[in-house]
Amino acid sequence: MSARVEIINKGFFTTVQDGGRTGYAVMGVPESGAMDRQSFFQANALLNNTKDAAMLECTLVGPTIKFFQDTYFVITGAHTKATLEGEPLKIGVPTLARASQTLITSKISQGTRCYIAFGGGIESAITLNSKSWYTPITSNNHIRNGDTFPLGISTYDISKGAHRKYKYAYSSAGRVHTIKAYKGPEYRLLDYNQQQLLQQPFTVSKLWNRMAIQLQEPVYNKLEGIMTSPVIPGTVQLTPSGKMIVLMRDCQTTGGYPRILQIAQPSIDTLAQLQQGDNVLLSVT
Amino acid sequence: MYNFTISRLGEYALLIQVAQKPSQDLLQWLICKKEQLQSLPAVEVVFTYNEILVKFLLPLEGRYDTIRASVEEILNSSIESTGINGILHRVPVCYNSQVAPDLEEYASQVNLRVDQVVALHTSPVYPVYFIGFLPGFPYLEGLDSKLHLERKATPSQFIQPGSVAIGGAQTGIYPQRSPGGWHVIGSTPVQLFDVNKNPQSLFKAGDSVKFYAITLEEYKVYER
Repeated sequence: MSARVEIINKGFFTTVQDGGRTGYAVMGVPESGAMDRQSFFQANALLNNTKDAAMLECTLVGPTIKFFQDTYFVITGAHTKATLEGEPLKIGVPTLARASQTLITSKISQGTRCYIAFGGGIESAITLNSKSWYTPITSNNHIRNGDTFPLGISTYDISKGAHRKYKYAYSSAGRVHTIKAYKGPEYRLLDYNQQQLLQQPFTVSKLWNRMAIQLQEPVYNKLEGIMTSPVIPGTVQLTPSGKMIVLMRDCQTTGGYPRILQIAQPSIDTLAQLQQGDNVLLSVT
Repeated sequence: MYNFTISRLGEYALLIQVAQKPSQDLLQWLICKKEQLQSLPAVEVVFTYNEILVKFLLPLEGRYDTIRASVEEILNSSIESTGINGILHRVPVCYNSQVAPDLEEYASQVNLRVDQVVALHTSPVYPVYFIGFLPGFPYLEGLDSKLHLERKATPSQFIQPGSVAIGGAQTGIYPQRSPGGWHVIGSTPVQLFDVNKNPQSLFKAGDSVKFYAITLEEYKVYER
């Protein structure tokens, strides 16, 4: 029987994500994939998985998971309280769970999303070239109690994995996060005052999810909408009300608001770890 | 041939902007250039009314000039004028307030009777420019100017799948349940996007759409 894991307690909001869905944007299908790619790729590297192997992306409160076979797993991303059979675990350290053992992850702190990867990766259904969940492309929106996930064949080997070090430790505690941004296609339409306003600190509003993060403080906007044009994760749109919307991994493929900025990839990962009330400073280059 | 500018959009994508209003000629050029650009080591190429986005798997840093030169060469080459080999889709629409919550209100806002709205909406052949916004959502051109109406001030929380709607100068069909600011004037029982079909999207760029009216009874039979 092939390896599998079962969700005992689903936590707050957890999805299956891989490296993303390419080739279907022309049909209006979003890219999806892990929100924080650095944490995602490192989890797979630590387990000697293939680069894009699917894993669980957990938001705010992680799940409780039961193992049925001896299975290597690792947690990366935001700091998460986690125990295996009551023993506290370290973030970024591959651990062997024995058959019938239970992993309990709970509150996520210093960040918003953690990744739980298993040796061999999650071998769930592939929809349009990807295992990433995105309704309506996939039937599931988030994991439920009792869901089971088949795992691939692990190629983890302690001798290989031991000298890989987990590099990316996310820390948030009360600081302002610098977000690197390039000028977007409509940046030049902004007037001098608007460009100056972009230099103030911004707060993540209550609208933050896998599709987009809206920033709280408005930049006034007199620009007209643009003809519907391509957008990608990291595109910053300026809405008619002057609010900036940073598009994230599940964003639509086209949009009609001026694209004033384009966030640098590493900073998209940083944004993926933010939530309501967190502060950002845009560094426009 | 058109004048265009090329710029980067983030580390992995190139954006080509054509200083031109949408037209059938431009659409044909875009469809042709999309095909040609796929010969690059690009992950995918998408276009909208007058822009083309070329996404790459690897960062452009260090090879931008080389790639840009290839893109320019492709864009400057002539295209075969074979015309657009699109499909004409005849799409049944039930224009009835039972399945189109905004129909009456919309008709009064544009100062037309419902039957006039239906006649004007079903008369053109709408070219499909591209698919965007939601999986399978067609961007159609050619809505009669008498039917133009600004989007709702407050978007609806849930627009039902199959809703045929008007927003500003555009008309389209919502393939999935979604929030949206367009006025829903009808509903089609036709499924626009199905992951189990190939191709998954009913429409593609270069196709065209002609709506025809069906009754509520026909709609219900069709829906089964």
